[in-house]
This record gives sequence, C-alpha cells and structure tokens, in this order.
Amino acid sequence: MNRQEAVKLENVTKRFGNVVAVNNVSFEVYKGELFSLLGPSGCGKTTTLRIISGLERPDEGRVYIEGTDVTELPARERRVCLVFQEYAVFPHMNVYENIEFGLKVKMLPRAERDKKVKEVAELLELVDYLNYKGGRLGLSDQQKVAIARCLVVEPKLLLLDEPLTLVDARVRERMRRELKRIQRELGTTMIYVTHDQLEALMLSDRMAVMRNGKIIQIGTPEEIYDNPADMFIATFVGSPAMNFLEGVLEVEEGMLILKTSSYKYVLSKSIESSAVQNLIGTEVVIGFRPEDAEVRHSGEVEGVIKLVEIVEDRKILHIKINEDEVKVLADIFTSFTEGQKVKVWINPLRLHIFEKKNGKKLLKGVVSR
Amino acid sequence: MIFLELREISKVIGDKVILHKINLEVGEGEIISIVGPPGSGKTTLLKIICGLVAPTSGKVYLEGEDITNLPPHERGFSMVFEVPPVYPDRTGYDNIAFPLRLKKLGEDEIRKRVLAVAELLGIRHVLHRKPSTYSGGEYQRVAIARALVTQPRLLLLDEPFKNLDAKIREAMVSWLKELHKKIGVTIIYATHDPLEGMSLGNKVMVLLNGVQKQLGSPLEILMKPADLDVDDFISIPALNVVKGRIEECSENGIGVTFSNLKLRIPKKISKCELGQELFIAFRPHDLIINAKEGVSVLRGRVININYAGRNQLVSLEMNGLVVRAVVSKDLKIGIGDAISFTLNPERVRLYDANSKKLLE
Repeated sequence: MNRQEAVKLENVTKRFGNVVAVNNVSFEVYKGELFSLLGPSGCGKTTTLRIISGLERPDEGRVYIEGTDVTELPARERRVCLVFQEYAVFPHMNVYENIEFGLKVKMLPRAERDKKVKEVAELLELVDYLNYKGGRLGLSDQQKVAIARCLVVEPKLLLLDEPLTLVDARVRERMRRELKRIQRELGTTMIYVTHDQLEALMLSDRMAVMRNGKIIQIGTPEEIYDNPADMFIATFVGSPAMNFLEGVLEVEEGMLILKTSSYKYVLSKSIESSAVQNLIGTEVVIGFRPEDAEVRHSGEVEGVIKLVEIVEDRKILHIKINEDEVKVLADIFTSFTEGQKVKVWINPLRLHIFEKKNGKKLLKGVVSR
Repeated sequence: MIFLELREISKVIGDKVILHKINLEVGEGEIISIVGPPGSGKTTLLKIICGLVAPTSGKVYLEGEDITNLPPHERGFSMVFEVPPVYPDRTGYDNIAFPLRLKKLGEDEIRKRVLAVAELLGIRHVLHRKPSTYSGGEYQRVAIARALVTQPRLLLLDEPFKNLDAKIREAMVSWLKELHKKIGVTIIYATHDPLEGMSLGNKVMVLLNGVQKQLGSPLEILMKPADLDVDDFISIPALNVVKGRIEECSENGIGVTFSNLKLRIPKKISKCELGQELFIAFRPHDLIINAKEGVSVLRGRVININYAGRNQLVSLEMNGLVVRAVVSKDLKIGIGDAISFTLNPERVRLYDANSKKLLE
C-alpha cells in the first residue's frame, strides 16, 4: 500500500519543569486518515496535539508536515486548524459570518467566500442555521460551526481536542457518526484527542494509546481491541472492562489448566499450540472480555451472581468465583437473579495471556483454529 | 411504607412551566434515577425535594408528614452537585468534617464519623491532602463523603460524575451501586444519560420538558416505553423511526408498509385498523443481519461503519431511508456492501402517528 505521510513525529519530548509531559514519542499519520490519541487525563495527548499545531515547541525531536520539517515554524504558517473542547464560536456573529471568518482573514474575494461557506455548510448540515447567531445555537451545533470554520480554509490537518466532551450523551453518539461521515467524504487528515475509548474506536482509522507521556500501542481499532499489548490497554479499552484471573498455567491429562490460589480452571481441552507449552509453569494473568464468556448450565467453573446490571441491550452479570469477580454479558431477556449459582464458560479462542510480573501480553487464544 | 412522596409537584416561573404535576413514591433504601436531557427540570426537582426551591403547587411528604414548607436544614437530606464546592484550602478531613462542625459536634465524635465514612468510600489516603492533588474520582468521592457524614435520610445526586473521564465515570457508577448496597441509604440520582440512569436505578423516571413521561423499572422502560418520545430519548445508539401504515390485520399479527417495504409483525394490538398511520420504531440492536429469505427480509446498502469494540454500528440505506444497526464485531463488511436484514418482530414497537402513544 502506498500511503502518503501527512504528519510525522520523531522522538518528540516535552518537559514542563520536572514533569516529562511527552516522552520520546514517534508516530506517523497518513493522508486522509483519522488518527486518535487515546489516554487518561494527564497522559500527554493534548500536549502532543499542541506540539503538532505549533502552540508548543518540543524540547527534543522533530515534527514534519507533508515531509517538511515544521519544528521551528510558527503555528499560523503550518496550515493546521485546531478545534477545542470549549466552544469557540463568536456569539455575536451568525453562523455564515463565523464560517466565513477565516476566508476574510485570507482576503478571498466575496464570490469565492460565499461558494466555500455554502459547500461546507451543506456538508455539515448547517444550511438551515446560516442566519442564526452563534450564541443561539445548541452546544453540538456550535461545535459543528467550529469544525466548519476550520474545514472551510482547507487546512492540511484538522486537529480536534476532545471536541465532544461537553455535549450530552445522546448528541455525542450522533456527532460521532457525523464526524466519521464528514471525514470520509472530505478526506481531510484529522488527529483526534480523546479520553473516551469508545469514541476512539468508533472514529479512528488508526489510533495510539498513551500513558505517562509515552505511546504504548499503535494500531487499528480492531487491533487494539482484539489484541491489546498489555493489561493497562486491555482494561482501558473496552466496556465493560476485560476480566482477569491470576494463576499458574499447568497441563493435566493433556488439558491446559489455570491453577489459581483456590481452584483449577480448564482453559482448553487440548494444547496444540507450542506457544502455550512454553508458558507452562509461568505465573500469568488470564484476560477475557465479558462478551467472550457465557453463563451455561454446565461448565468448568461455578460462581454466584452478585449483581445484575443493564447496559444498552445487554445484561451484565457480576459473578463471584471464589476470590475472583468477573463480568459476563447475557441477553437482556434472561432471568438471572442475584444470588443464583451459575457456571461460566470462557471462549478459549478469545483468551489473552499476560505475564503477571509486568502485565505484558504473552499470547492470545490457546486453541489453534 | 412510603418514605418520600411527591404529589402533583409543579413549578412555574413567569409563563414557563419548569415542572408539570410530578408524582413519585420512594421506598426507604431505594435508588431512583431521574433521566432527561439538559433543561428538562431534573435539577429543579431535586432542589424542590431538598427544600432549596419551593414548588408553585403540590406537596412533598416524608413518612406521611407534609414537609413542603420545611427549610432544607430541617429535612436531614444531603445533595451533591455536578461541580460540588469542595473547599480548596482545606484538607479532605476538614472538608468532610465541615458539616459536623457546623452542627457543633465534639471533635472525638467528628473524628470517628469522618474516619468511618472515609473508610467506607475508600478515600482515607486523601484525608490529609488538599483538593488540588485529587483525581476527579477522588474529588467527587470527598464531596459524597461530606454529604454522607451527616447520616442523611436521603441523598440527592445531581450529575455527580458528569465531568469525569468516561472510564472513571463507569467505575464510579459501579462504585456507587456497591456503596448503596452496603449502606442502604435512599438515593435520588439525576442524569442526562439514560444508560447511566437505567444501569443505576431500581426505578427510573423519564422527565422530558418538565413532564413525567414514565416511571418504572429499567426493564419496563426499555421494553415498553410509554410513547415515542421516551423510546427516542432512552435509545443509544439513536432509535430508528419510520412512518408507515397498517395494511393487514389478522389473527397472526399485523402487516405494515413503509417506504414501499412490507413488514409482518406477529403481534396483536387492541385496535387494528386498515390504513391507520403509525410510527414503526426499532433499536439498532434489534436488526438481524444477513437474514434468510422470507416475507420480511429487507435490503440495504452500507453507507457508514463505526467500529465499537464488541460490536459495530452500521448505517444502511434502503429506498432513501437510513437505518442504523448494531452488529457483531465478527461480521466482515465494508462500505457499499449490500446487506439483507430483518427486524426482530418481538422488539418492533408501534406508536400512534398522532398521539405518539405505544400501540399495544
């Protein structure tokens, strides 16, 4: 695949006093891609974005936009546009004037300005609001205007810093869909900063997970979700979070077994994979997602339902297995009750095995297909 | 016995109706969610319950006693706001102890109570620290600790986790549920997020534009929304709604048409009239993709895909209509693909075109 590079960061480090906000970060974003930086508050994602925009200067490392080293270039000469969490729409101007603003600054002739404003307004479905004053708009529409104002000047890069954090849950869901559509229709390269894992999964072509100033995994949403590199990512990405069981891997009668402090769990009836054999005797943490397990009439491990929650169209069963507690998804029509004894089956193809001492991924799935 | 009762509570400011005839009965130890979009009257209702705002009409009863005109401090309730005023210059201990000092309790008693509540909420480690060093979750827990330390009879929470990171918000909701199980205090919890409200409350009130649209268990509301507005509000991802009409009424169910498409629903409604106009509503979760040939198989083209971890949200275009479907993450699809699907007939809901009421 021949992908053109839109942005490249090379060993970028940024310190504030003693704090290393961004620690030796390198990644590339390709043209036409929506790339997310995902991580908890304080992980360095916003600082990274500000370095790309030119609002912060890195202490070390280089920043390239479309192959040109822009590390020393001031923000206004980079042709990037930034949308913030807080709404930056001029309340006294109407939507048309808000969108037109950047074009006026560039001294474009009126007819050209008009054409461009209307094109963008069409794309973002703002046509009916062009005469509305900025201050009269709802929060999500204000944010759309902020995005429109960026898009109309045709930036090389659109940078978005948690643009949907302040809108309410239902509007956020709609905006995620719309942003994805707009991005695909326009093909604008976008870098999107968020703490919301679902948002990153839903919007991104590729994403980077950040923690303590470092990038700890880069991949497509599917790669990150299906194959998280360590236990932090496995916990942070996905909801409800991945379940973990601690123990030692052993083989009994040709079956792969997880031996925990209080019980044994048969992970697989066979051990075909040699990768598994290398792990026998290792202290591990087994991870599995709530949707990759089932409550059955028969199964290997018995537990007691502690709590039944409803989320979207599913029930989440909190099941206590001796000392451990795991979450398993079930259909909303099932009649499980708290206190009920059940058996849990875990899909062996969807098991993640992490090393106990450092949380790093050792293996995914224990049965060959 | 009914613990707290709201009877016909209304609030009118000028010519604007903020709340219209709200009725609610709360049993002791219950956890009630009030869900509604921003501006629907949730905060006003909470303030009326705790006495910060007087209703224009209607009564508030506590264990049968009319407390409508009782000042807030005599009610023995606590309220936590979206951004609770935790004093930045005081340690966690002093913040939590504050309401007890106002009551002029002895320092020994205060110490005992603050430590007990801090233990319960898992925040002993922040007692000696000032709020600027707290994480968002710790800050919110200190605020809840301060509300609980007075041993309130009722805890009112107004979007207490709204400003937290998504992942922490989830953890805090689970935490609150477990805390409630442990201490059994009666809680009324207001949120704009219907999923959060339904996950937390044993009863949920849906409040839209100041009108109490429905009160019931989360499952009742999910399965039998009172009307289309409720269904639309509680559905995330957004509900699919199409306008159609009844073409067939028979023993086995009804046939509806919309946008030149036919759908048979094996369900009876009390008044089935040919030609009757209605709204057909179904959640994105209730489309069955790659359905086998049959009467009600519909065809669409994929126009958008949002991968969402354990599933994917797909937008489909058919005959000019766009519908959204949540499908398994294992389904391999791409934009432009043709897809056939059917609707889970059990979960299609029909609403009257005029009143928007659920047709049963």
